Amino acid sequence: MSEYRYLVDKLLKRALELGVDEAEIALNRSISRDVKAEGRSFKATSKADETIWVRVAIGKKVVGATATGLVEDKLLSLVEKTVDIARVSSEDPYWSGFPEPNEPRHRWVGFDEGIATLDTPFFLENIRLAIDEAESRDSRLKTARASASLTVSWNVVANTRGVWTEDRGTYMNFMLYLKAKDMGRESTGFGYIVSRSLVTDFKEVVEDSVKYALDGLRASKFGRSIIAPVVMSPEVAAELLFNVLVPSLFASRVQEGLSPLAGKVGKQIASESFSLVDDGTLPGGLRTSLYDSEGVPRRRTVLVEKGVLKGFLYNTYTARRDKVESTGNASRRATMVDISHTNLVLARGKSTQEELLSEAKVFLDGYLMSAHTVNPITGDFSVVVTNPYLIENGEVKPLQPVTIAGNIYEILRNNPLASRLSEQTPYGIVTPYLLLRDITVTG
Amino acid sequence: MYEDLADRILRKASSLGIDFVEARFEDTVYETLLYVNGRVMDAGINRINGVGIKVLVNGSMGFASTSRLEANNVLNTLEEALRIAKTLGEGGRRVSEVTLSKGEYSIRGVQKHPASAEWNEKLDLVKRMHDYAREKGMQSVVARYGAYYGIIEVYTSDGIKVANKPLLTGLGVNVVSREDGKIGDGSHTMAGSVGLEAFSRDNWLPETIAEKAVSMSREKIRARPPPAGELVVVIKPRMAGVFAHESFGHLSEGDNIATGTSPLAGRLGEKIASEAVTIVDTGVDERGGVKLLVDDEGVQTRKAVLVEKGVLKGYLLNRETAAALGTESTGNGRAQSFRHDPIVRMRNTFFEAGDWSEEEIISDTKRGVLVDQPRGGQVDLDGTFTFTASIGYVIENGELKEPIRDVVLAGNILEMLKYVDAASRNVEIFTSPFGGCGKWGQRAFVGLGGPTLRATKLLVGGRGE
Repeated sequence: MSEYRYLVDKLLKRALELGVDEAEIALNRSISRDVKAEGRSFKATSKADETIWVRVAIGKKVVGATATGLVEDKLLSLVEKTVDIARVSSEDPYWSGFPEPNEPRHRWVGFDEGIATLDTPFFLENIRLAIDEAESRDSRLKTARASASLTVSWNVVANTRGVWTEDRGTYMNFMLYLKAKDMGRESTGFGYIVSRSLVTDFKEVVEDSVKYALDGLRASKFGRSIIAPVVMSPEVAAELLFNVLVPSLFASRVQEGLSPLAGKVGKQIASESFSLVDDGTLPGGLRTSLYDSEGVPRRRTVLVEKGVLKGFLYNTYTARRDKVESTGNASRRATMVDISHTNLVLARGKSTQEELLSEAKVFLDGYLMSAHTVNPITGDFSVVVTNPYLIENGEVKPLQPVTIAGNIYEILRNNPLASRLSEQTPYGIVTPYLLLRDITVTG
Repeated sequence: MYEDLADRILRKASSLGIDFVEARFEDTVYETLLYVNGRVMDAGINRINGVGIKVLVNGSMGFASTSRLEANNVLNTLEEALRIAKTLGEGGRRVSEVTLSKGEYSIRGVQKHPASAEWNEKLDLVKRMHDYAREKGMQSVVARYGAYYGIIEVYTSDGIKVANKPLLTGLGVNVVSREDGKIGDGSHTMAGSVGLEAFSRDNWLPETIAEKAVSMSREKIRARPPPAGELVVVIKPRMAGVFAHESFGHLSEGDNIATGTSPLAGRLGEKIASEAVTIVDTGVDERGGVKLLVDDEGVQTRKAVLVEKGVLKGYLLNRETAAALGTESTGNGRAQSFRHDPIVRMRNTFFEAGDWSEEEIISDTKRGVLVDQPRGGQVDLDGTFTFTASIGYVIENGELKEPIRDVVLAGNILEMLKYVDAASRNVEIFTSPFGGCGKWGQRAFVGLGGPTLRATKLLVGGRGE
């Protein structure tokens, strides 16, 4: 990415000439390819993208802009337009500048040449194989959708304080979404793999989607509402935490009064069995990188230790406002630099999955529907689980989708138990199976 | 704007023996202003400029995009689309024939277009929402302005040549208040294909938008979690919109029909809902929503009647799914940006009016809940759908009683539409430039709405046994 140095320097210099106090340029180049199947009809796509982010500060007035395509004169006029808006914008009294340069804290780069050099035929062949295999298992199964994709991404962040960081990464996805139909009963099954490095075996995706779809066909209606202990699979637990708990760990939401965890550092917010670490340095982690979106090195941050809240996730702006160091969690959302988690790792427990299940009434598997509708401001949630199972006399029987409801903070204080083994989920959360108590299950 | 480049693509495609090519150039802007607790937290412009090229060869489709518009790079992108399409081998994809659209499609009657309005005027609108909510005692206030506009040009080898100038402008506010250790959140958005002058009257005034959020937040402090179980549910227009979108719209999208995986596939003409149910999806409706005159395949939008008096009448189609089903596109081919291939998406999806008044529906309901203010929803291909209301009320003996909050409703589409037994006369249609609908990794701005509806049986996922 050093071939962009000339352009980036020129844009920073132009901003300074126009009278800004500081400027920052971030740049992303990415290539992605995929093959998608709608039923057995395939299409292939290929994208080459360049995106640039500009932030300028005049005093405490800060404005951002983004654009696609790295054409010099277009970008120079973007910088000019951004400066024009900054002049008439209003001040943010908490603004205290862009980050200073710093060395990375780890060495793992999630870049696999094996993914970067993959081409369409590999995806096509494996999607066909997966569809053939899945549909041959049972004549009631039909493919709704399948896809396989790769993304190769390069990032640069530079600012007028001397930051110049380069980063790169590869990502691969494979998913199969099946529909099953039998005498008026309908169900779906979903399986997927996400990885930073090359995967060539997709059996697990087929097994998962077939199992859920067929279990769905013989699922019975729960037909009642109970308050009971449940076990959540890693996917279900991660999707719930991602939506209802994780945003409240972002310093931006804490500072603006949108987090119920404000003012609770040092206090017990969960049972001793619950610990949580954000680890942007985790080898193999879906969200591991050398630097965050402002060029601040990724690190490991303890958030909850034995139930006690230890801190929050910061970018440079929120960190300086709280007079602490940035935790390297800056992320870009259109023109704004916000905060996001990297790899959130939940503490593992001492039980096996079977031991947890023996204490529960319902096992919640599959994925959540309407998870984005939960309320992170209060911690209240009420969502649908697609593939629940009833646990009765040591047997696990499929149920039709149920709703589950509760408050995440009450639940975390109610002695949650974790299994010995964890799984990485696509939400950037590494979690074991969790036994959670007093959840309302309705179906 | 891009006519010369398009011409070169079409000529090269023809020389390469490509059966069909569609080039979509985009130069659009998304403006953002985020004003949080008295400070500008995000101000900026997001410019999206590039081309997406779709080709069909031997019934297989390849799509390639690039953000670099130099001629040689654009032609290489065409070759990349061709190369990957060829790797798929023989396929069964085609595009339907269409009435060829030509010329410019732009929103009329806009006085103060966001592209030419002063930044200060936009800042003033968010400040007014913020200041109003603060004065009313809200502890946290997040006020937003968003506008999307620009040009999208579509050229195809079969003669489509259109310049579409979309527009969506909106104001939204989220507030949080606290009282005796209780937290109440409220939100409200007003948006449409309008100029900034829209925000100077009636329900669109920044203060009125803020007031709606403030009163919702206060109600939520008093509200308790909803009861759980199967209940009679009265659904306000904004919620009816999410109901139409989630419970029905997604399952009527042509891709799921062509693959035969939607529960609605192969059921045209069947009675699938009660008489009270008519659902349509349209590019333009005078009652509100976003105005989409032409889709991202360059096809002029037309109204699609999905359900008429309970009978399944139609599906949502783009050119490919229309060809697969042997019919015409309804103009529902939409792409998030030039980087994305157009897929079947909704536009403005809503229930049509009935002959009740909202008061009559409530007073006719002995026991149940009324739900308002959607937080979103989702549907699965087996027909399971959910949608969530931020606030609602218990109904007892025809009267609204205590408020309830965060009410998730769930059901199965094939059963639930049969339980709708009343619809009111007033139809309201809403849209928003914040968020939108997501499908297979693509976001789209949509409109949704309806009258006030009543469903005699819906699963409410509350707390407590």
